[in-house]
Amino acid sequence: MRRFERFPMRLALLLSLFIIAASPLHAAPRERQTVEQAVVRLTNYQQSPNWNAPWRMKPPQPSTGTGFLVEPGLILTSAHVVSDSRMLLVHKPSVPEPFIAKVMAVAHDSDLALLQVEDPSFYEGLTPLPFGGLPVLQSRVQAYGYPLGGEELSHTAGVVSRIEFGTYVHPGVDSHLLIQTDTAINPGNSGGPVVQEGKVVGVAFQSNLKLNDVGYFIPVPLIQRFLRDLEDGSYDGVPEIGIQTSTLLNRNERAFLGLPEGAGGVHVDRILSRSSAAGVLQADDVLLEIEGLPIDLAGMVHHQALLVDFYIVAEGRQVGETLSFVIWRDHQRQTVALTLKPPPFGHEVRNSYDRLPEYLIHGGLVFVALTRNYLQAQEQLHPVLAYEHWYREIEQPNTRRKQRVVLARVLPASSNSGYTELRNFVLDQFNNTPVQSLAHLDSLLRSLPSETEHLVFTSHWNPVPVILNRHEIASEHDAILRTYGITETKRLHRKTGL
Amino acid sequence: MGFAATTVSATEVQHAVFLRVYQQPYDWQMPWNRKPVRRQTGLALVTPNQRLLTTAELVAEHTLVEVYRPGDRYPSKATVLRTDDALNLALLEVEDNAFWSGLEFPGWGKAQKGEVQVATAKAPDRWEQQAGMLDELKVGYRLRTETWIPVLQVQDVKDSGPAGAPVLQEGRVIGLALKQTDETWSVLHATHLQQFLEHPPSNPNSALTHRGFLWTRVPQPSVTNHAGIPAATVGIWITRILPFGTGSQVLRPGDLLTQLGAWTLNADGQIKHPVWGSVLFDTLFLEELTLGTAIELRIWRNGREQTVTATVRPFEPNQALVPSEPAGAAPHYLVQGGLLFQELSLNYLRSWGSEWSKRAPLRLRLYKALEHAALETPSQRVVLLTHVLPDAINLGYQDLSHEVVEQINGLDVSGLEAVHKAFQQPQGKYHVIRLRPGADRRRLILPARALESANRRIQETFRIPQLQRLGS
Repeated sequence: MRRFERFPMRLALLLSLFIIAASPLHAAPRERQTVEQAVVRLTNYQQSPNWNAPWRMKPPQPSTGTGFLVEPGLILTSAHVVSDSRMLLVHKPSVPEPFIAKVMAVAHDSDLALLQVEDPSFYEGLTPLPFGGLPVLQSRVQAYGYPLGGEELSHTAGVVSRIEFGTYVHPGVDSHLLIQTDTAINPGNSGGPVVQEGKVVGVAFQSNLKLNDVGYFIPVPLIQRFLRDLEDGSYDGVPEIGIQTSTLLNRNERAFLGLPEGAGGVHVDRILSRSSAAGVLQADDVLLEIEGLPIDLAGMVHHQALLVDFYIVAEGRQVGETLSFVIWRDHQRQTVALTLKPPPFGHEVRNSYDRLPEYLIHGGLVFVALTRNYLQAQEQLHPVLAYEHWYREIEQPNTRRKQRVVLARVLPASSNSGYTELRNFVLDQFNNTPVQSLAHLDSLLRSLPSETEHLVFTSHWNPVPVILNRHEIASEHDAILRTYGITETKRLHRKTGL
Repeated sequence: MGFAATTVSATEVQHAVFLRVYQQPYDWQMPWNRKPVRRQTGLALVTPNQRLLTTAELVAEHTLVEVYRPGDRYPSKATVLRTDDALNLALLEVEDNAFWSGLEFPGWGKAQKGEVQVATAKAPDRWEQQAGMLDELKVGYRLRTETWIPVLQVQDVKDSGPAGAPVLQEGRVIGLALKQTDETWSVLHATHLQQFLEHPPSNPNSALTHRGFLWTRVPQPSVTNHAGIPAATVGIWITRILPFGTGSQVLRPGDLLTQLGAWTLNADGQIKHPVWGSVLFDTLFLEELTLGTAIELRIWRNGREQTVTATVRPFEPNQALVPSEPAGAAPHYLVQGGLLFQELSLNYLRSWGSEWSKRAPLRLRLYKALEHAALETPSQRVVLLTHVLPDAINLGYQDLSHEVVEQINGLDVSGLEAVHKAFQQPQGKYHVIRLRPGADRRRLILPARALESANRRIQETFRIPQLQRLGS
């Protein structure tokens, strides 16, 4: 089992975004009245970048969603409802003029966001909804929202059919606890409350195209963890243990490990470098207990009334808190504790929002950082990019670079003639110096010794280096930018070269 | 507009025969199984020594090869003596001496531009004579074996014809038809047919001589300038050296190859051929550069012009990390405790169908796509745990599939033979199978003592004729 679903083959299991709505229901009139005083409709005019031409933006597009008041002055919704926002409007029931809102905090890892409206009159007549807890399986829940942006608040009902860990589509790689319901899910309902007995038990956020009448909502423990995380003024993210584990259902494997008869536990297959577990847990440890809860052979613990993945215990914690394990190592029980850290990887692994792509153009050569967004923007899966993005960290962790720089394409000009068909050349070295990041490449290009005649870009994936005349390239650089309508030669998020 | 086809009397055709081949492909996912029988038809050339020559693909995975002389009502049985997968050629034998009555090899001809004749048949008694225009010698890429082969191009043929049809010029054989697209036939040159016939059966390598390297155009003058090569120098840039073939022993990546023997290369790798005009230099391996001969290669290396001498060498199959097993080869496998081990091959990837490059598991596709990039530590083969046949002994592992095996009982496994040997050396009471990072689990344990009885049980439960089929 893994906490992070980094592999593309698992993407087939990913769920479609967008959410809730549907048929008439039987909410108690008082509950509906309470909810109506908290739920608002959102319109987000979002604009995302063109990852293949990173200096360009796509046309702005409106999308709708739902939010609800959780505290005086604060609206909770899904992160994907407010991502890449250029203007965000909040529509109050029965008030024709929308209010402009701003995003106060966003947790892309758990698809949650907090909004605020500056105009105090907006909050008149609105009342925050109280939080409940984890609902019981088969218990009924009501989902409220504005499917397809309709003017009237809609609500649907269903039962809780499953509570388990699953992939959150918005970040693409994170797996958290989610609750499955047979409540219909439609676009526009995302961010709306799922209510039980007048209390919020979740935020509707995604559906599953492969299953009929299946919707998902984010459970309260993850929402409350998000709110607690923000108490110090910044969002640190959901901590990650940083291990890959496998079940010990095979009795021979248990005997091989010398586990006592009747013992449970899961096997630690791999420790992610720079993770919370690095230096504390080891490959081949067996995790027997987490925070005093016995872990069974399938990796499950009894948490409240649930039998759920043992990661649930870490999920509720904050970065910097500790987590204790009883482990089986060297045929002995031992107790260890680790300090929780954020996941040990950068922005490039997740779907990226609210962040424009980095790039660097030199003499028509367009360099970009390899990210999940860039990879998915390619018409066809590119083998080298796929390996670099998904497999290098796993198979050759010691060779990982701070950032993988890709010569994405070449804007044709006479000085780069001969390379104009080049695509996705993963850069290893520039003039014999290993390239660590786009900013590093930028600094190398800006500090070339005066005697340098050639620019030599090499990749171990490609036996043909790119060799260009430095002076010809430099002399055409500005003209190339003008020809292709590019105003900025670079956009770098990292300030330092290394 | 094509030449007209004319029906001919069966007795007029003496150099070709009709083949009906029953094939039963292997199931590479369940390698002890075969798929349903299918039938293909084609033609074969009568050779000088009373054998038959046809394409290897036509007789691949055959269960029965029936051969009809033109006009025969009943078939004779043919036996496949040997095949050359790179050249796509197969040699057949018919034991019945009476079969050869009325058949005759018409002699070898020398191909040149102009009209050609092809006798084709869609049934043993329905022969017709077609004509076409031979106008080009091209270098084709044979995807199955990833080789480059010079082939004759015949245009304006009226109908598509069966594979294995002999192509004649002035009554003599100049080639064998491989495939047809639209009105163009690709024809294997008679030189290749002769080289195959003369190739010692004991030699496992192909009869196809091969350049042994990959190359590209020089993208722009800055490249040669950076390498210290005079601006006016023309040649091709050597990018990768293959583990076989002519240039493999003497060339290096980064060399600029300007001349092979007496032939000067242009920037596109072409030479001036006396018959065929500007053609890729690979065409020299047809007649001018024969197996075993020495050839001087003029190159620029490290800013100096120099001459190196290479020996013309053949294509050697199965040198790739993910090889293409010969057409019809039975898949190798090994079952231990319900774990099915196989080597990753192009054949295995193709079991996902014609769109395997999109549908096969990504990591396996990447092994193929990136095999030239020397990504892996030196390894002969990628060993896969392809499936688990569910049994009590492997409970907990039954959902694993297509994982890459790293070690068994502490031994690195670089092929099925290594897997076989490793299972003879358990670690105490257990066999320890270690999968590569990225697998759903890294380690599997099988009990050594219980393995044999579990194997018998699994063999019976899943009706597996043999628990292993290994190479030689």
